[in-house]
Amino acid sequence: MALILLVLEAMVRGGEGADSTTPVVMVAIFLTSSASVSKTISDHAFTAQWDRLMRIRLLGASPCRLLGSILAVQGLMAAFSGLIGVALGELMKPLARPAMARLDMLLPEHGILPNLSSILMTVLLSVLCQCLGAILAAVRVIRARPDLQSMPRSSGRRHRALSTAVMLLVVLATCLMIYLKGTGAAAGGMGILLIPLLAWALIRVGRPLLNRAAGVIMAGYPRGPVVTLALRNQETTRAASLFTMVVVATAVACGLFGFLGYSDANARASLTTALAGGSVISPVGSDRGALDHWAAYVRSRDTDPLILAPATVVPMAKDGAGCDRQIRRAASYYRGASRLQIDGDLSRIFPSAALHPARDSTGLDGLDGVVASSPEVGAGLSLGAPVCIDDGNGPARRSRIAAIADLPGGMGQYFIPSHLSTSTSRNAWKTGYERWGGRTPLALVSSQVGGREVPTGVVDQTAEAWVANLPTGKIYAQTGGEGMKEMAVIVYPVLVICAVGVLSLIFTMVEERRRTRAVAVLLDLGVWRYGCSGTLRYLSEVLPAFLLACAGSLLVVNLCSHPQSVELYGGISFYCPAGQLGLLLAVVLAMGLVALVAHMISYVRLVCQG
Amino acid sequence: METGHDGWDASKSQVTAQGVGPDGGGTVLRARSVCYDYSENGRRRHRLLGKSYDRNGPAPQIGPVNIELQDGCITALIGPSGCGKSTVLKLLAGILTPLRGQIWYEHRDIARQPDFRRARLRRTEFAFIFQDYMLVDSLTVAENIILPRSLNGSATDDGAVRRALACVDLPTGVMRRKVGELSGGQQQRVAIARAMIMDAQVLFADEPTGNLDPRAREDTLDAIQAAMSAGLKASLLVTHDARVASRADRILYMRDGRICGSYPHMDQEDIDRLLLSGSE
Repeated sequence: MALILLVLEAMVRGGEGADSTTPVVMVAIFLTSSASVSKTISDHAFTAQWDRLMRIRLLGASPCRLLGSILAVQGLMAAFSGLIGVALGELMKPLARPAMARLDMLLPEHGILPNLSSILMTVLLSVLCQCLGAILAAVRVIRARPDLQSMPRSSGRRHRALSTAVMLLVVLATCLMIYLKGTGAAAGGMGILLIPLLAWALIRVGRPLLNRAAGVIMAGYPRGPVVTLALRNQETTRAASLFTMVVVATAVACGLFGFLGYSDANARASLTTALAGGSVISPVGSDRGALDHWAAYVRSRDTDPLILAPATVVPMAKDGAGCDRQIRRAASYYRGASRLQIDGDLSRIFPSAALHPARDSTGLDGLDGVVASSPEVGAGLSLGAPVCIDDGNGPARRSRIAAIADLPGGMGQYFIPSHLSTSTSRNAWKTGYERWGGRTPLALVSSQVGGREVPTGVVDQTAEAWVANLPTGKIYAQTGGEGMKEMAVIVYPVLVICAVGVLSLIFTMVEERRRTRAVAVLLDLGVWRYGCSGTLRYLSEVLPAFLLACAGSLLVVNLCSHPQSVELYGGISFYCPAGQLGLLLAVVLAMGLVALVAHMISYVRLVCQG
Repeated sequence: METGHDGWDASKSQVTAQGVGPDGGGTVLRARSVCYDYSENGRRRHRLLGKSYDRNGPAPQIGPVNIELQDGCITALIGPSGCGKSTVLKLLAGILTPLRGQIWYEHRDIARQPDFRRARLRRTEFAFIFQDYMLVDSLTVAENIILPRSLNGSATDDGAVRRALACVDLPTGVMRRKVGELSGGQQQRVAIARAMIMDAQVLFADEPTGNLDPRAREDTLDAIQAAMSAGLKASLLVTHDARVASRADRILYMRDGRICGSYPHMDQEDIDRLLLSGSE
C-alpha cells in the first residue's frame, strides 16, 4: 500500500523527465493482479454459498437485485479494507522510503507527507478491483437457474476448449513469428503482452486438465485413502482456484523478471562486444584529487578517450520556464546516472555502432555531446527538437537533438550537442576536476592495461569486467536505478497479493471439507494422514500450475527476446530468472506446510469436540 | 375415471382440468402446451428450429402439458419418480423457462416474461415449500418469514410475523431463533408462514412432507389448508405420497413427462392403486 501511495503521489504531482510510464505500469499490474485474486476468492465464496444464493433467487431476488447486493457488500468491504490499508501504508512509509531511496526510486529528500488525492485514489481503486472481481465471479451466479443445487459447470465446454486452444495457438504462432522475423525492442514489448494471454489460456485449460488427470490417476486399481481424499474432491476442484493464483503469480514473476533479465543480458552482451579489447577507467570518489589523478591517468592511456559522465536532459517545457528551473523540476524525480555525456568519437569506440546507423542526422562521427534515453528526453521527439541540458559546465542551457540512433546496451538514443566552449575542446581539459567536478565520469579506452601501473584512486578494469560488475538491470534501467531490484519492488507486491489469496483459499478449503473431515474422524483415518491428504490436494494443484506457467512464460520470453539479441550481438540461447523462480517455488512449497498444519489442526479440533 | 392419451403431437390437446374449459372462470393459473427439454442442446435445438423441427425431430422430454389451477383448490400432481413432476412445478412457478407453450396468470403469459418479472412474481404472488424447506440457514425464523417482503422493499412489523406464526401453530418464541435449531416440521411451517405473510396467491409445494415424520406431515398439511383458508387462492402439491395426495381436491397423474389423467378427490387406497398400476 505504501508503494501504491508513493507511486500515486508521483503521478499526482507529476515530474518532468521522470519515467512516467513506470508508475502507470506498476499500478496497472497491481490492479490487474488484485482483480484477478478478488475474482478467484469471490468464485470460491459463491460456490460455498451457492445454495443460499439460489434460495434467495428462487424466493424472488432478481439477478440485478442479487448482483447489486453482492456489489454493495463487496464495495463496502473493499472501502473499509482500503482505508485500513491506507492507514497501514502511511505507517509503513517511513520504513519504505529509505529502501526505495537506496534503490534510486526516490531522492532521499523526497517528501512523503500524506497526499489526499493519492489516498482517495487508492481507496477508489481498491473498491474498483474488488467489485470488478466480484462482478466477474457473479456472472455465473446470476445467470444460473434458481433451482440448481450446485454451481454449474461452465456452459459450452466444447466452445471454451476450442477458444482456449485457438488462443494458445495464437500465442505460440506469434512467438514463433517473432522468433523467426521479429526485430527490435518491439518484439520484447509484444512478448510482454503475450504473457497475460498465456496465463489466461492456462487458467481456462489447466483446471479441467488437472481434474481429468486426477480422474485418470484414480481410475484403475484403487488408491490409498490419502490419495483418494486428495484427488477426489469435485466441489472444491470446481471452484478452488489455487491454480489460477499460482499461474498469475508465476506468469508475472517469470514474465517481468524474464524480460528484464533477458534485456539486461542482451545489453551486457552487446556492450561487452562493443567494448571488446578495451578498458574502463573510473575514479574512486569525485573530489578534486581523485578526478585529477584519474584525468592524468586517462591521458596517459589514450589520447582520444571516450568519456561518459552523468548529465541531465529534459525536453523543453511549454510553460516557457527557464532551463535551470526545468532541470530542477525534473531532478526531483530521477537520478542522472543513465544519461551520459560523451566526449569523444563514439564510432571509434563502438565500431558496431555501424549496425545502428543514425536514423536522422549526418552520422555519429565526431559527434560529442550528451546521449540521452527516451524516457528522459521524451519519446517521439524528432531531429532538432529543443531540450534543456545540464552537463555540469555552467548553468543549464538549451540545445537540440542533433542525431537519433540506437546504441547498444541501452546506452541511449538521442544525441544532444553540449555546445562545449572552444576552450574546453575534446582533449583540452586541464584537470579532471575542472571538467567533471562533482560528477563521477568513466573513460572508455581502446587498449588493455598491459603492464601499466595503475595509480591509487583509479580503477582500470577490462570492459568485460566492468560490464559484469554492473548490477543486474542497471544498463537497461531507465531511471538510473538498480534495475532488477526495482523490478522486485513491482513484482513482489503482486506475489504477496497472490500469496494472501492462496492462504485465504487454503483456510476456506479446510473449512469446507468438514463432511470429509467428519467421515475421516469417524473412520479414524488419523491426523497425519488427513493432513497429508490436504497437502497432497494442495500440491496436486499448485505444482502443475507453477510448472506450466513457468514453462510457458519462459518459452514466450526466450522466443520473443532471442531475435533482438541475435541482431545485436550473436544472441543468448536461453535465459531463466532462476533466483526469483526458486524463491517463488520455495514460497509455494511453504504454503503446503500451512495446508498441512491447517488440516491437522482442524482434524484434532473435531476429535476434541467428540 | 377420466383418462388422457399419450403421444406428443402438439396439435392434439392433452388432458385439461376436469369440468373447466380453457377459458373457464375460477382459473388462477393456466398452462397450455408447455414443453421443456432438460439438455442445453435440446433447448437450443428446439429454440432455433422451432415448429419445422417438431414433426421430425426428437420430442422434448416434458410436455406438452396442460394444467389449470382452480380457485380455492388444492391440486396434487402425482406420478412415479423421475416423471417430471418437479420440473412442471418449476415451469408453472416461473423458475424455469418453457421451450414452448403459455402460462397464463392474471392475463399475462409469464412464460415469455423476462426473469426479473418472474422474480417479482415469486416474491409477491407465488409461495414455495420444498422438501428441504427452502429456508436460509443463516437467518432467524422472523428474517426468513419476511425475506420475500424484504426483497420487495416492504417493511414488516413483528405483529405480522406473530400472526403468521400463530396461523401455522408455532409459538412466537421461535422468532429470534435460527431456523437450523427447529425440527423439520417446524421449519416447514415457517415456510408456510412465509407464504401467508407475503399474501401469496398461489402455493407451490414440492414434496413438502418428504423429510417429515407422520405427525409433522399432518401438521404441515393442516397448515397448508389453513393457509388456503387464510388467503391462498390455489395450491399445487407435487408428491408421490398417497397420503398427501388424498388431502387434495384434484389429482393429476403424470408419467413420462405427460399428464395422463385428471381425477377428482380420491382416497388414499385409490391413489396407491393408481401409482402402482399407472393410469388406467
